[in-house]
Amino acid sequence: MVTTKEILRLPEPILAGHAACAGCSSSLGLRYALKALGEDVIMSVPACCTSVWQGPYPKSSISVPVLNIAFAAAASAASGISGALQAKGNKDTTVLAWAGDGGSVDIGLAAISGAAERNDNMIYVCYSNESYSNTGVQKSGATPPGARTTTTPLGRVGSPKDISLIMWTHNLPYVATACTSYPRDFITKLQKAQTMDGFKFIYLLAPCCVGWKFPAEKTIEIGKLAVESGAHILWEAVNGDIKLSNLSKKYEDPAKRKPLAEYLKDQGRYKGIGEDMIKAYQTYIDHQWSIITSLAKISQ
Amino acid sequence: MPDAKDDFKVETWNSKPAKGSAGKTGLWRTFRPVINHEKCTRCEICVLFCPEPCIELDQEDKSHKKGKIIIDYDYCKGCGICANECPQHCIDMIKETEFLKDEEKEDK
Amino acid sequence: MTVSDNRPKSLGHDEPKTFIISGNHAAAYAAKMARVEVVAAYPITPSTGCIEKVSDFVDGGTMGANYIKVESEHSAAAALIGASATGARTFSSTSAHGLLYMAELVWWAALARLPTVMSIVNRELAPAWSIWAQTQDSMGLRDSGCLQYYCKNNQEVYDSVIMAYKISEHEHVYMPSLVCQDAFILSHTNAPVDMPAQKDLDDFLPAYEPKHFKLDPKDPVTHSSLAYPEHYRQKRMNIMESTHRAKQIIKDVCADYKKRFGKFHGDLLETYGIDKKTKHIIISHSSIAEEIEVSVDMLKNKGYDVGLIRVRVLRPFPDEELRELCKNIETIHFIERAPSYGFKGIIAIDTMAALFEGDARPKAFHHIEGLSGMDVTAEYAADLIEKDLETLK
Repeated sequence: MVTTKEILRLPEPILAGHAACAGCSSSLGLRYALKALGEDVIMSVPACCTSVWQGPYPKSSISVPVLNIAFAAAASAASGISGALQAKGNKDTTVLAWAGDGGSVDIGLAAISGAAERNDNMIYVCYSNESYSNTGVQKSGATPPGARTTTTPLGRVGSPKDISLIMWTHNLPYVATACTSYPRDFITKLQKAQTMDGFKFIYLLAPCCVGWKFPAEKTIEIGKLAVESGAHILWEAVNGDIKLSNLSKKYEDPAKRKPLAEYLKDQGRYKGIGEDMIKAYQTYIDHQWSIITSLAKISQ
Repeated sequence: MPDAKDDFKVETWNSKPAKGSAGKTGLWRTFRPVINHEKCTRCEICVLFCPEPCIELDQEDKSHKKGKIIIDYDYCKGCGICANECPQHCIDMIKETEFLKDEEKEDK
Repeated sequence: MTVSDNRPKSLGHDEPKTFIISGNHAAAYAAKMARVEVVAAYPITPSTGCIEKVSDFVDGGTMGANYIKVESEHSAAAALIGASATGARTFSSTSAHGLLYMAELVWWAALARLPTVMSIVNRELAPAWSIWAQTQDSMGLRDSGCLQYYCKNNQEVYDSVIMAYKISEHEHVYMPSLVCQDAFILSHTNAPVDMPAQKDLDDFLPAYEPKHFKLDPKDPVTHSSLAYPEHYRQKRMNIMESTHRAKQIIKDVCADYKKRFGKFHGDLLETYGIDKKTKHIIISHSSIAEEIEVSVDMLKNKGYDVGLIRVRVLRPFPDEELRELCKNIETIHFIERAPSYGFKGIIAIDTMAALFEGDARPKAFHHIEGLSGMDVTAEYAADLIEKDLETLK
């Protein structure tokens, strides 16, 4: 695994003075991603927080080429970039589709599924703040049970879609989950993905202080609590074989997990949310664990 | 050709990488992170987790062992992640108005 | 090393050749011989024949393009944008609901200034389901900035696709092109199509080299990010200027093509049976116009002083040209497939607006005909015009 010192010495791909909210983990996530992938990268970015925080014309805070594209089209535009590189015999440049959860889980799902089914050569990172943060924090298909958003003022009813498992069913060379609070794990996963041909998918949990209503300074802390409480499971699948990542391995035992309440206590989006909804979230988490651990067992 | 100028050029949306795409974002700041360099061990955890990024280790600065951590206040938005994550607890978040008072004092 | 050595393969005829093929295949041959590098398309009747032919070429090893078999038209257009922005010459084909489904990205390609070319088979829109000809699908994208060509026969489809690349890739244009043909009447009907030798086409249409923007890690730019109103006005007026300039560029390219290969279908518009004294002009488009050429002969035989203008290019619109041709006429007769609901035929609307800037005020007759591929025969059209003219007596 890459060391912290190694990460620090990699060139800085994000230029300060961008338009992200203070404490934004999506800018932090892209900083790690581009540190991992290097300078020979072309990005496709749909409507999402990144399309705003990259900064207004004529400046950009991202130091690799970026094609901004329509909401549902991150994966398909990346397929075109990848197809053009292939047509021109370029085997070196990495294509990175970088999209939020709304653009991936909801409106862009067909396009990701298509690109994955074709195994088009790219790394697709869905950075998830579990809502449409950019448009004012509306409920997305990735919003967890009970969470309050501007379109679920009484708390989100029902369960989110697990896009990572949906992608896993596409028989891909690489699928993984990550969190912006663990840069070493995320960067190692990206670098592994970069060595492979075909469609690679990473779901990156990116806590959003504005949407989740916690103090900006707690961005890293909240992300760690997501993993430590078991709410966000870190795993990877190489050629379909699912393996828990070391950071999540110890939480396979529910007794070792921090209480869900500890993860939620600083999140204003859960303030005043009823016990039944919190219970539904816990049930969802337990269900996810049983799926992932069962699949990991089959993979052994 | 109506209004055709010989130096006509197709224009598109090419934004060039540059600092401060959103201006001097330091102006957004309410709290300013201030490092106690005596307590600082230069572990660079603050550098690692800065979302801007606007913190770096100046290895050329020999005032302390291993250099000196510097924050670019032109762009620091004051999110406080650095202070929250610092293992030495050596970054204080100080209200910008405190500095205003100092500046006013200087003015007088 | 010659230029073509770096280009995608297009194995074919080294000498000029004639094929008896459908409009769909004519477009596919043109894409192949234009040495398209990336194709992205999704099946929809009646444009499938084109992408099936492209598949035959690609899998048969005679076309060196990368064909991305996308899961929707929305993705097809997005892939074209990605590929074109990376510096590839790109092609797609679609129809009706497919074009509407990709509409968001058709606008995107235009406003991003990407010179992609698509073969559009004009088909009626549902409900109710209909697969037959009607031009509202592409005419509904009239204001997107795309250059739009409406072809009257398969030969024109082939030539127009080739010329569309040359025009769209002109350094002053950089807008996408839609090359349109009528469903079934052209798309599924075989007719002779003459094609030049590959080497002569290569001379006419060199390899695509982006002149204004390319996704290149060696010279990174962020394309189409957020922008403020003052920049919008500047960039949008730049599109206005480019699309106006495209008129002369289309004329030049059509003249050059004619000189090299002997094929000419008009440039912005095509006239039939018109002289300076013509009093009555029919305005039509697409394959209907070819049929109306016969109507014009029939009406002339009956002693009527009529002529035909076929609007070949809807955008940029041939406004000055129409004013010149119509300045002394008495009546104008629109026969067109595409209505703008709540007003009149789409070409009539634009033509009347163009004439308003001149002095001529001909009496206008409006006919929306041939909806859902309904036959507009020469006799039928001649009868319509004759009845129009009788009302003047």
